[in-house]
Amino acid sequence: MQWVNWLIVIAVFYFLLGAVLWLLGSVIIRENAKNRVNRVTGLMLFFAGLGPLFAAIGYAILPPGGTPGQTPLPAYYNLFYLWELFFPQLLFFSFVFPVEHRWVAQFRRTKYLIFTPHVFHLLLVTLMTRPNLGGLAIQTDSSLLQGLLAPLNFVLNSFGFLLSILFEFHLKFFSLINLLYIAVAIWSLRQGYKRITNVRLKSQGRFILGGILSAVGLYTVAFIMPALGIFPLAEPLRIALAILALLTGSIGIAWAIVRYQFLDVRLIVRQSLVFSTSSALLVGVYLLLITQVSAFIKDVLEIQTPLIDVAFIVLVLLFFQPVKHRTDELIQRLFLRDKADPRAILESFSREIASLFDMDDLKKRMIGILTEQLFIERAFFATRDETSKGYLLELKGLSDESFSGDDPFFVMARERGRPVAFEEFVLDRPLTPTTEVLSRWGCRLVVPIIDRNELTALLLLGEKVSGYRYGVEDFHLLATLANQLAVALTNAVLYREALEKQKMEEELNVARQIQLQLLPSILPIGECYRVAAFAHPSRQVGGDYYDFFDLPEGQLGIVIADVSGKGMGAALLVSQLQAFLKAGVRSRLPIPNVMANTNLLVHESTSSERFATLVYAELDPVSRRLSYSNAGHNHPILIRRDGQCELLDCGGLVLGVMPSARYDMTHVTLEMEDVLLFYTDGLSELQSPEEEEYGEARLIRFLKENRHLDPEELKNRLVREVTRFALGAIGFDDLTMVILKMCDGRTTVIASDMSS
Amino acid sequence: MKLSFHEKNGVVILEPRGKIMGGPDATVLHDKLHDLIAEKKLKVVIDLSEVDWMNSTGLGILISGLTTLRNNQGDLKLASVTEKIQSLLTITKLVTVFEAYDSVDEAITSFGAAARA
Repeated sequence: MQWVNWLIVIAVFYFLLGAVLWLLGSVIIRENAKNRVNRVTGLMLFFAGLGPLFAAIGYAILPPGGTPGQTPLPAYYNLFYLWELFFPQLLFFSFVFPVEHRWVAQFRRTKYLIFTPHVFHLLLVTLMTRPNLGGLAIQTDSSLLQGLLAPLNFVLNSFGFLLSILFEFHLKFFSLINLLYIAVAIWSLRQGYKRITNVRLKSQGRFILGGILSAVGLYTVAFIMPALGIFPLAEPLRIALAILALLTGSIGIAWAIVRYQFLDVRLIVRQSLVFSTSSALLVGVYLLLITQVSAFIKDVLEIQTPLIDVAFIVLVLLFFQPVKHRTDELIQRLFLRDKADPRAILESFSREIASLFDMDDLKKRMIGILTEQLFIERAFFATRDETSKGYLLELKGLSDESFSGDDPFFVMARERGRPVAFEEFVLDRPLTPTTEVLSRWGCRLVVPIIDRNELTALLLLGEKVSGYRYGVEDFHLLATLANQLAVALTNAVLYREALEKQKMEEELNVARQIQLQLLPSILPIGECYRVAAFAHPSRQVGGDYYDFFDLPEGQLGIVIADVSGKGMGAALLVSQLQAFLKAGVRSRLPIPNVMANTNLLVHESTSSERFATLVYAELDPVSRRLSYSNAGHNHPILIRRDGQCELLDCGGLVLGVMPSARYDMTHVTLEMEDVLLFYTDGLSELQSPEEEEYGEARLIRFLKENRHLDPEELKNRLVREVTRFALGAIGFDDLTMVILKMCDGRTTVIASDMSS
Repeated sequence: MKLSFHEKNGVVILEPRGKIMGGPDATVLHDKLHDLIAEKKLKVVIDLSEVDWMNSTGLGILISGLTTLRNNQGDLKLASVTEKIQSLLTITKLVTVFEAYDSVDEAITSFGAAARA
């Protein structure tokens, strides 16, 4: 009675362990039947699970006092030996995990030959139910036939006898084959393990190998050794060892799954319930069919042959997988919708991108389509950053991360040029900074977006909601989407550039307005002088500026300045400079002080790269004395009536560089007909198409030759002259000039609007 | 503009080539100067022998480099200044601010002399 209770406990234990292995195997195969490692691992666990399952059934229906090994079992129980297919499967596993051996692909069909001994073994034990095989002889009551059959029966009996010897021998030594398989498998696994470099794979491999090795080792000690007559063990100890072996094996693999993502954990949790239920149902139906059909055959046809059992084994082997596959697909379609119509997705996407020009809208829409229609949990973009030549991973809600474009990940993605499973980037390769982040994030698929041979962006996809791996259809669809997206993204870039250009143009227009408004619209009128001015702002708008001040004692203040840089920043500094200078001039401080103050203010109000050159001059019309100070500006050119040339260079450093800079002032007395040209470097540095500069010397010669002209005419001729020199290419820099000419006071002053 | 650089006796020698004008080109020089300051490499010589021309933006970069270096107890010296750029420095009176030397070696030696003094 005690023994029976124990048997039931052991049977339950075996059953549970077998069920766990089955569950693991079944789920691993379901997870991705196309992946060889999954297939091989799943089948291996499946066979391993058969052992304890059948043993459990054996214990449960065994007469009290017997053990499965001792009692001659009916043919049906020989199904038990199915589980030994585990050994060739283990060997096979060792060839594909952790790294697939080269020859697995080479010997496409012949590799299955490793199953031959076990299939033979299975057939033998199933066919030869009883050790005594003398029963092969044909029995008959007819004496005539008996005489005829006697030689044949003799042959059959001898054959049966030979077979029974073979059977005995086989039973005894078949374990040797298993032992050999185990040894080769362990050697192969160790070889593969040594070749792994990836840290995560290494830990994963360690647990799987550890689990399998200890399980196989314990099993060898418990069953194979005793079967070979070495090391006999008591039955309870053997059972304990077997249970321990099964436990360590399944725990090792389960731990690798949970801890090191040998396979996806969440997926397993999600699918295991559905698939294990369907598997259990299917197995139940199979068992029912087998027992019913064999009972039917026995009853109706009164035939008793082991062939029926063999046929069922074949049936199980042949049809279990496909039937299970169909059932799962049906369940998948009913409960975990996955199939999306790729054509509809493409059409809707093409329609939408035609109307999307904004880069962010485009990306948002693309991610929307992927998550809604392809049921992808998470999808992100990594876009190329043109300035750093790296890639920016745009994680919503998280901080963006940027990666170097030299990362092997991007190089490989660029080389592949089409959707690639993320696995391929990490399997048997060292982790790079990018793949490390991506694997933490749970990336499953990488879709490179390539435009004109440049990897412009990457679409990174997470797991599918349904848990299925990406199929061939998905790869095709995503490749097409990536092509469309590449075009759309390029358009978006062009659109953005056009917008930016438009914005810049607008900004420049504003800057140009500011600059023009700062220039005087009316030229001063004086009795003893005439003035002409010209300003041609460049397309980019520089920082040229000139102005006249009517001073309280009748003097004329003249300023010409050039602020470094271009665009809005320069225009704003010009406006500040004007304010600083006006404040200084109005306060009637000595010119050097005005200059020093302005210098300080410019220094304080701008960045260290910005500075201004400036000449400020005051003309006293009575004494005809011109007082000036030049802060690093192009020297104004004074051409005397007799053609003598003087340069006004007294002053100091450019404004805004040294807060403590000091400025000198000097006077020149202007005579009748003297011509004074203030100008900015746009004039002297104007270049001919041969890149020859107009230069100060040419300017002086021109002024000497044309000094008799009145300022307005002189200005026009000078503008014509330099335009001709530059072959019309004026506009690269600002071109500004102010011409002052002394006269006797009787001639009418020409007032002219500023030309532009 | 192209920029190369090397170090000699603890002095960084920058060798720009071409025109130092505004735009992305000039940013390279600007960034390099500010990188050096961040790295606490405060003795810098700019070899201008291969620089054809610079505009006000280019000049602004030199000025900014100089003031920032000096604010950090460093210095920026110019070497082998071409005639054209010399005239630019003269007009702007920046000759009074920048120390300019005929050769890179002289510029480097000047740092040593200052250190010993």
